[in-house]
Amino acid sequence: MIENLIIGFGVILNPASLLAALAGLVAGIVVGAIPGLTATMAVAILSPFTFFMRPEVGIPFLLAVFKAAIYAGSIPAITIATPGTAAAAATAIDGNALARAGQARRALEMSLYASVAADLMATIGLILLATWLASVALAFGPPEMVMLYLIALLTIGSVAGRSPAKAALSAGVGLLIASIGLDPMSGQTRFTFGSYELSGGIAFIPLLIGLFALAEVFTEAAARPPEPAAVNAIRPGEAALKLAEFLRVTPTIGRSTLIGFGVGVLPGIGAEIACWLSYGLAKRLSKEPELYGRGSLEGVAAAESGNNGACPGDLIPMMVFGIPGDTVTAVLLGAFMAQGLTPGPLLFQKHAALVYGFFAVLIVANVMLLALGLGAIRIARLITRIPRSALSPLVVAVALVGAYAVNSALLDVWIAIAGGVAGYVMRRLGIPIPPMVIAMLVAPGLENALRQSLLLSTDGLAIFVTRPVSGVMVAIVAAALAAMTWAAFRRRAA
Amino acid sequence: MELRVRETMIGVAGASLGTAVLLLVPAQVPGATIAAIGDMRSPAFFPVLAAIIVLAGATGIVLAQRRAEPPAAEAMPTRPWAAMAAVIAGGTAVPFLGIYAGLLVAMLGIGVVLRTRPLAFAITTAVSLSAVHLLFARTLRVVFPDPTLPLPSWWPH
Repeated sequence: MIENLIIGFGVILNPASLLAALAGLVAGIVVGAIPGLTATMAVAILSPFTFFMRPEVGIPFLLAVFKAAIYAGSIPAITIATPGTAAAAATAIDGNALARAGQARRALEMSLYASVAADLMATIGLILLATWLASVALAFGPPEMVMLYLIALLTIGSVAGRSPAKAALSAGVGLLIASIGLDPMSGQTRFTFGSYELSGGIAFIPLLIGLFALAEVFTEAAARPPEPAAVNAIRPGEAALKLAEFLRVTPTIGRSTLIGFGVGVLPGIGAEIACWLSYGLAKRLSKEPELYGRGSLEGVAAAESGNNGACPGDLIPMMVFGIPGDTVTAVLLGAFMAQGLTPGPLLFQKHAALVYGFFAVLIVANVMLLALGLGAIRIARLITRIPRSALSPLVVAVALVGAYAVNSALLDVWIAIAGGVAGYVMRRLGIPIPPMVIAMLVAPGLENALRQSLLLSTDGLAIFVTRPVSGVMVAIVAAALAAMTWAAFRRRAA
Repeated sequence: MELRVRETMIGVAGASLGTAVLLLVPAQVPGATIAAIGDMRSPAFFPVLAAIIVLAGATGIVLAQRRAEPPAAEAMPTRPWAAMAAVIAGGTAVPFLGIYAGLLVAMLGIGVVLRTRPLAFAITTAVSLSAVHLLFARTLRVVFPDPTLPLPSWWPH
């Protein structure tokens, strides 16, 4: 593993990859620091650029955008009590309290140092766990992959939104969208309505651009313009964070990183939930719980460690099994595939140097983020003041052109627009989007694995039960379904 | 609109989609029928399964409305539809007027709907169109479609 990591460093330590990572960090910080612009939106509209780059340049760019956007959400959370990304919601509680008390610099610096430390630790966890899991997953056959996909879909469906029925509807629509095109085994056309363009299926990236970028613009149109909030940014002469203050919260950072990483590994649960779990546990175990909610540096550290610890964890199901855990990794999965890199255990065998190069860039980007973050918190006032309404036309332009650029096809522009309309309508109607996106992305793999399983089997569906690992997974799925049904029954009875 | 009515309409729409897919299977998947659900080797198996999941979800949504009276649904604002119309207008304009004019139409419409300040809008538009030209056309060498309308030679496309 160490040798592979050294090779990985050799792959990415070139000017183009490092510049791409730097550009990604800058873009991610700007996006994350502006409330209303999400990490998913940034990765979605920037991913078409990467199709024209080599993988060792394009993928580091997107990974850097993801990483920086999750961190930078803390900047407006602290300065104007408005999280830049949902993952920074817990940071706003104590961060803004500190800022209003004239301690914005300490809060912003604690957020940065905790984020970088957590991300670094979680990246080491990613390297160790992903490598091991990939070697285990190589032993997985089609029946095991079918059960993995089903577990992922069930998990995502159960945590996305309050209505399992709407989650099922959303996932079913995702499976239908993925069915359009050619049957993977026989090559027969399915639901192309005689259109040659549709024989290649619905392009995922333009659809994701619509769902996450254009839909956000349409949602913004529904909201009233926010009142300009008081910006509690760094004032001249303000005291910096002391080393002793940081060292005092390192146990909290370690614990929160572990929680965030563990949560990130589970499909369907991302940084948005990790930050709250970390914050809640830190408060319970704190020696000064009364400070939480009124300006606790430990609270800021816990929330930020949790959400940044989740980012590397999020990459594990996507890279090892090809199962995106949330919407950001769903877009990343699309970007990987556009680069000819099919996520899964074989990715670690066929493209080991590249994979370890991506791990190396996550480490290098952390160091860069430390430097960039110190600059960003100095100009926090400027970044958070950029009105979203001024950026929305830019988002629309880049989204439409990006969608076109994927295949140089006007159809993809219309797919993006349709995705935008669908994304807005789904949000208004409370239909969760993640089950649809993830079902769409795992459907080809699921269908292939299902039909391969039956080709391998001599007695039909029994293969899913007779193979030991698959049998255990079937038991997990059955138990999960029973638990969900019981919970729904009890809710109805209450 | 009452929430229960809206939720029921969602369920009906979902059920319609699922039913439509099942009815279209014989026409859209050569040689297949709805009975393909019993044959996992059939190319129609997966779409039929997906349609059944959609129907199940839709049924669940409708059945969930049989419980106690829920509160009224929030009215759908109209400005997002105007934003969508602006983007659709821009997309429609692209084949006729070229990519830059199409983007300008979409951006103008979004700017009006979101009430972007004129100076901010002018800056954003200039930056956007320049970025599109420099990044996509010049650097990435993306070939944009030529406008179909007869336009003067100086028209950017």
